[in-house]
Amino acid sequence: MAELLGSLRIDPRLVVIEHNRTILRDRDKYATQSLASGDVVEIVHFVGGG
Amino acid sequence: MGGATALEASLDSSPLTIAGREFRSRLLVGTGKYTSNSAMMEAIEASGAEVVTVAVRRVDLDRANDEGILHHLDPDRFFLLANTAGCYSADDAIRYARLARAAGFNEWVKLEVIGDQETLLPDTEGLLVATRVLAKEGFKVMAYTNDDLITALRLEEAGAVAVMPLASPIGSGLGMLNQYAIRTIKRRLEVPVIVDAGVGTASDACIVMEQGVDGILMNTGIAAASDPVRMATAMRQAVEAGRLAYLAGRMPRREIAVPSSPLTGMLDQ
Repeated sequence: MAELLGSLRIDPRLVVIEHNRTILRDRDKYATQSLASGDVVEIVHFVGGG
Repeated sequence: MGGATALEASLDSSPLTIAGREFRSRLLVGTGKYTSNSAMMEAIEASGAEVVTVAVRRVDLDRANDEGILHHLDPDRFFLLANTAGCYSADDAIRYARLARAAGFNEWVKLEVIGDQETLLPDTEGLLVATRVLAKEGFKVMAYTNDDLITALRLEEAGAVAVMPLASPIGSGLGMLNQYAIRTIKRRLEVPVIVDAGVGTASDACIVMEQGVDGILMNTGIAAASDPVRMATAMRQAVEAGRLAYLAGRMPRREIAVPSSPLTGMLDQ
């Protein structure tokens, strides 16, 4: 997961990641979180809103 | 802080307090619809708001830095209140709330469960379900709702820390459509009442605050003004003025004139 974020040039401190509908709560574990073919990864952040 | 602001603060000695946390302003502002991030930041500064709402969205890989609000807004200076805008079911709203909390700033959420695309009016059934679930999970739920007393009472029972009835539909700028309903909700609820949505200009904000509610959350009223910084300033002053007028207690309304000057001592009497 950390590699994926690195390749997308995303600062992990500014996003929240959902992996197969489970929120990854611990950013320190991104490095060891492996991804398999067919996994669904959602990357969200805060944007302007009311 | 100028002298006038300090005086106004001393005249309104009770700060806005929600779930035991004190906030420095009764005006809460959104961060959507600004033409630029710098315009947004200037307007937020002018509004004096501490609580600012943000939305949770997928990262757009092409413009993450421009879109990501944390590139512009210092989370140490403002209290980030994530919303669940755009959610049309309790399940979606719960999912967005959990994602927002995982960002690690706080456990507060401005809960929206929208029931209709045209009016953006709330789905009150979904709102109640989501409030119960999130309150049990330890969220501080501020629930965006309509101006219906019974729904407001149920939201309070469900564990909402604040109830946020609309003045009028989101983004409409129509001002407060039902003063009686807003006053009744304020009178009957124990938790703070923050009017959310529909405030179009400073007089709208002032009239809302004169009803005795605890605060106002607005976005479009500032962001869509021709000069958002001026309007943010006007809104800040209107919220303070409305609050002070409420605390001062207005004179009774009369349908006949009552002279202000003495009737005696006129010439030729």
